[in-house]
Amino acid sequence: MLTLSLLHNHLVPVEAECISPNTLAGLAVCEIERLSVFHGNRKESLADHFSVEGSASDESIVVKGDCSRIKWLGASMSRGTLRVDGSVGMHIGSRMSGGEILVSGDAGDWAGAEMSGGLLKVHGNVGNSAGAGYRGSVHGMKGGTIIIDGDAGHETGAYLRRGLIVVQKSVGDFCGFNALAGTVIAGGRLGLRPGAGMKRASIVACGPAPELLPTFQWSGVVAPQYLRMIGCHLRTIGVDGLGQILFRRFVRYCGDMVALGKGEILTLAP
Amino acid sequence: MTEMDPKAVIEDTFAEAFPLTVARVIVTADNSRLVQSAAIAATGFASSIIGCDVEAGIDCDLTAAATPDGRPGASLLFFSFSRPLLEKSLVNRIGQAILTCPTTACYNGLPVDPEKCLKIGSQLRFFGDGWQGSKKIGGSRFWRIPVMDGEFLVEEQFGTVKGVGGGNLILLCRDAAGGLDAAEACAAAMRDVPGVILPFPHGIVRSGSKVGSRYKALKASTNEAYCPTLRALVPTQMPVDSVVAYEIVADGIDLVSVEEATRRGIAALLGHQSVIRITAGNYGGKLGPFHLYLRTIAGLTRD
Repeated sequence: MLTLSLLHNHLVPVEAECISPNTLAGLAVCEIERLSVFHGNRKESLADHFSVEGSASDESIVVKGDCSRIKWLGASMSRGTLRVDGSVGMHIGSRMSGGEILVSGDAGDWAGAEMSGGLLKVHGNVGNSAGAGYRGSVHGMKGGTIIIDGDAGHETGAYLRRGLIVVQKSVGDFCGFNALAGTVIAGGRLGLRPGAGMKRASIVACGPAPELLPTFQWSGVVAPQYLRMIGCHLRTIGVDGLGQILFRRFVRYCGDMVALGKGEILTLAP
Repeated sequence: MTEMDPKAVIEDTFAEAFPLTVARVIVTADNSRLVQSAAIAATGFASSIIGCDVEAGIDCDLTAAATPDGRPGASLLFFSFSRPLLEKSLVNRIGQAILTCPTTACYNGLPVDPEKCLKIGSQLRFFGDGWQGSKKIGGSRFWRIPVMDGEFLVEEQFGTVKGVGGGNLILLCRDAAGGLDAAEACAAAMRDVPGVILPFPHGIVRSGSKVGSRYKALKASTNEAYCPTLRALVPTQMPVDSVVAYEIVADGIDLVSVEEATRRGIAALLGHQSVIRITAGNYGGKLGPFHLYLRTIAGLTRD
């Protein structure tokens, strides 16, 4: 296991996309220390910001300290484990395709943006656009699972193409905006205009019934079997909070009728 | 033939088994009554490859904790000669017997190798007539097909393995009622082995067959050597004091499970007063590569 300990807190963000099992596995400590990071617009070495101990040969990395100004951790990783003991900055797990990222604190904006596989688990809150697509991209998250134990910001799952986003507490506005497919589950309050422009995705509101756009049409009361499956699947990856709720009955609203209209918003049946 | 027990003799012979392609289907529903109905219907008319598209049976019941969606379920095993045949049969059987049953869902029960898998949900989805949708959960794709009580959920791909078909025991008994009791006890013991099914009704065969017939159109015909009413007319395998013979056929997910079923079956028969002799069906080693020697499996020395 490789341990990276943050040496000092920053005001100017550090872009450290080299901190990923893909990059670090097989490198000696001295090689890791020489890897480049950007501190603002200055190119510096990893050793300027982190102390490095151990080996990443087992593809397991632990990052310690308040990394809320460290960006792009685990970006594009495809294997191994990255654990952050503390909070982390923007773009954590961006475009990752495999492996696991576990964050014990909060995460910034664009957590798991455009990821296509693997598991990103954040114990605290995340910023805006978790699992979303970057501006100009055709789609956002394409696979994998994002679990957020706290709140998530606006545009969570925007342009979602596939995959599962579970937010145990509340979600901001425009959740699943323009989503093509995939599933977003919100344990708490859902913000304004969920599913606006969505084509096929599912948004599951386990908290208070959200205010829906008029382009979503009531479509009966259902107990979807796939939600039970997701509930069981969540238990297997250690997420118990929403399991039983997903076994209940939901009111189904189909939409968004301004788009294809094959998406759904499920709200807990009274 | 060696005397082993005052009640029964285990013949020094072998059951001849052969490789078959196997799929395991997990069916779930809102209650176990619906599970049983769907399971029985899906595995119906599937006793022998000789005349059916597959050999199939209920492997075991599953508790809600053991199924993918947390509802009661059952594990079904389907055996066929090839993956294309198995795929066609499963699409038909799931489509007609499970999809049609209220509240059911259908999941794959074996690891999926993309090159050896069966495309089941991806064919059944067309029943949705364009209204079907899919979800990818934990690396597998599931099709949601709208039906009159909500949705039918079916996994897209089903894994297969090479299993073993044709494991068998033949028991020769001195009285009809006792023989049936012994056959039932034997079937129950063999059925208890995980990964083993007994494809015939009640697990017992009363019409054991031989390969071929005097009629060219038939692939198999009655095994006259074990027909008590023909003893005066044909070379018989039935001892003078026997009045009935039954065969127990077992298919398993691997050779080890069929051997274990055979061992348990023999053990169950040895305790029965009415069983005179225990033997097995084989074709001189020409049919299949798996030879299950009864005495070896029972832990006895061979002659």
